[in-house]
Amino acid sequence: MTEALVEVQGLRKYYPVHRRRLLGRRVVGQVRAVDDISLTVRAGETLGLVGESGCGKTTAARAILHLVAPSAGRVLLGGVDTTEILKGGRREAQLAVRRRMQYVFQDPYLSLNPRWSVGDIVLEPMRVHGHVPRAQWEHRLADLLELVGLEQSHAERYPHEFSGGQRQRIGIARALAVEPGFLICDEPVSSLDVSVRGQILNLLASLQDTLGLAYLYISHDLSSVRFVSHRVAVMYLGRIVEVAEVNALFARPLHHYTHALLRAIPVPDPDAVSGHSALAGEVPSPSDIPSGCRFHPRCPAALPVCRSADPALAEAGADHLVACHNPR
Amino acid sequence: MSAPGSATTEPLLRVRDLRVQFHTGGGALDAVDGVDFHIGRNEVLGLVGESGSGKTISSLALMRLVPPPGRIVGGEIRFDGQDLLALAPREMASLRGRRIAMVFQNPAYSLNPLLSIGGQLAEIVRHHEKLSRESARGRVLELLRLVGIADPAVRLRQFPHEMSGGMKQRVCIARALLCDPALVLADEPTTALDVTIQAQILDLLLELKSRLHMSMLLVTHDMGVVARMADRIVVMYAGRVCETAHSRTVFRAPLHPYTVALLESVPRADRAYRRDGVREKLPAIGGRLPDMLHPPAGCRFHPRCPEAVGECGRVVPLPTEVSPGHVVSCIRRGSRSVPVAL
Repeated sequence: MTEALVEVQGLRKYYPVHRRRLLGRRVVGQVRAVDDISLTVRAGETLGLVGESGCGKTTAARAILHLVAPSAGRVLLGGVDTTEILKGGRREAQLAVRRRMQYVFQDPYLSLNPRWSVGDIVLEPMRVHGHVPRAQWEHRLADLLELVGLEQSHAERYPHEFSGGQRQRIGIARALAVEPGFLICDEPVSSLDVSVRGQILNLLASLQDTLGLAYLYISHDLSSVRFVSHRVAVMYLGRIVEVAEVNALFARPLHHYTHALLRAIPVPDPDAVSGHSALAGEVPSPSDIPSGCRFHPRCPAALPVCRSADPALAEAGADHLVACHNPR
Repeated sequence: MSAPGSATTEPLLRVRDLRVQFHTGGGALDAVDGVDFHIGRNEVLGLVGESGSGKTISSLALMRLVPPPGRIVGGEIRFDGQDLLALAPREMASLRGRRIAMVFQNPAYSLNPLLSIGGQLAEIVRHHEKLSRESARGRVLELLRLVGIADPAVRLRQFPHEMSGGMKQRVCIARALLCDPALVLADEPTTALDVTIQAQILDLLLELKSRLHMSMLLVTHDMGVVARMADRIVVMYAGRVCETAHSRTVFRAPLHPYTVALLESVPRADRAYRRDGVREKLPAIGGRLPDMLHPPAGCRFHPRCPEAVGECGRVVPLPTEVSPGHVVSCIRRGSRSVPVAL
């Protein structure tokens, strides 16, 4: 349980900002979408990655899988540097890495080819990777459909015949087709109706128990993060500001941003003191990041030092990291 | 059909047996199938349901803005002493945006991208209240200030794309309040926003409601948002009302199995799911939302209901007041019923 499966070290993804000139264009700045993040996902655990839109959580996920090339940093998978391999390794080596990490997309309506049958969709990874002998495809397909709670007859049907929840199951079956150890789930339930969200969250939990999967679960919905995660990392403007065990983080957040975020969640209890805006203002643009601690302009406990010095993510108790000069 | 509860003062809005039908290639679809509710003065009513429950169509019906091929085919909507379904289109148009206003889900789509903020807001006051250009501008500035927009004179000249999502939603709220409406319909007003911005907008709506003495219909799927906002709650499923009660009753003592399941199946941020490394299962609702072209006979929730008995598929439960202000449609909770029409 404590063994690190995925180690992300100093990952950065910058996008250049161009200005058009008379001839060609010139880089005038950078959007620092992901700015030096490091995190660890242990075998068999779920690390929740939370933050508001634009904080860089999806870019981070894509950079980890090399779906966008990171600007700097590396990702170790079981001690092997995947960044090097995915940047310019042999195809077989790249495929071997890809078989170990997969992605479940947010929108099950956009992430399935509408002209392919469910069978084609789930078999596609086997066609690409060739890791399963063709004779076993049928058998493997049947196993995968059963694993995610679909019926065998569904293999011949097309995505439009399914509800959102079932489509998400198809997406999960496709990701599992290569038997990965690590899945990145990017908002897998936010486009689903509330009464089916629970089913998919339970499915992810039971797959983790039976297959020993590790998840990076990305969401802006802190309630579902509380349910699925073992540990949670909080992102703000391209940085990770706090990482802790899930119950510790929700009970006693140390970073002022985490605290404000948790207070803002409306809880289904009319007497709860929640859902109040503890934060004034809005998130600054990642192309114009504040100096020092990037949260200081909105922080209720900012000190003079916060304006000049950028706090590093540091140990603040057992299994609890925080990047703050003046934690709560 | 007698008015339950306070019969002495007529509520601001009373909806009785509202029916909206969509004529589709596959047949007639009852999107709203006999819905009753009322909204008191200065009250926030939460209308809760999932997609296809008919909550959005019900709120559009109040404005007589049901999009074709949908049509209001029955029922009564009484607003401030007037029967809205009997009004001439001109009379309805003069009410819309003036006495009843709307705040939509996605502020990015509900503002005109080609007009400045000042331009599109002033147009509304000038149309409804025949104000001069100058006084319309004054009114818009006043409202922008009221919804917490700094530098309203600058914002007036800006276009929607120059603003953040939260700022645009503030503009939409200002727009809704321009003519001092008695009722604001807010359809998922914070669903497109981040949590911290959502909290700001919810705070703002509550503050404005009590300052301006208006009533609000809040349409949402988020039980957390209604808990924070609503005085009373109507829970809808597949075009019908399951349960109506005061907010605290819905959360503390829900009766309809759908309400109970909805509350239990959604993860909560204020609850630990993991103790000593063991994770609880969520009591998820099985099955999926019904196909509204062929909804289940009888109670529409019965195929997914943990407490269903054979009779649930043979009779239609009627809204029945089980205690003052608490109306439930479930035969397992003592509701009256009628046999399914064949």
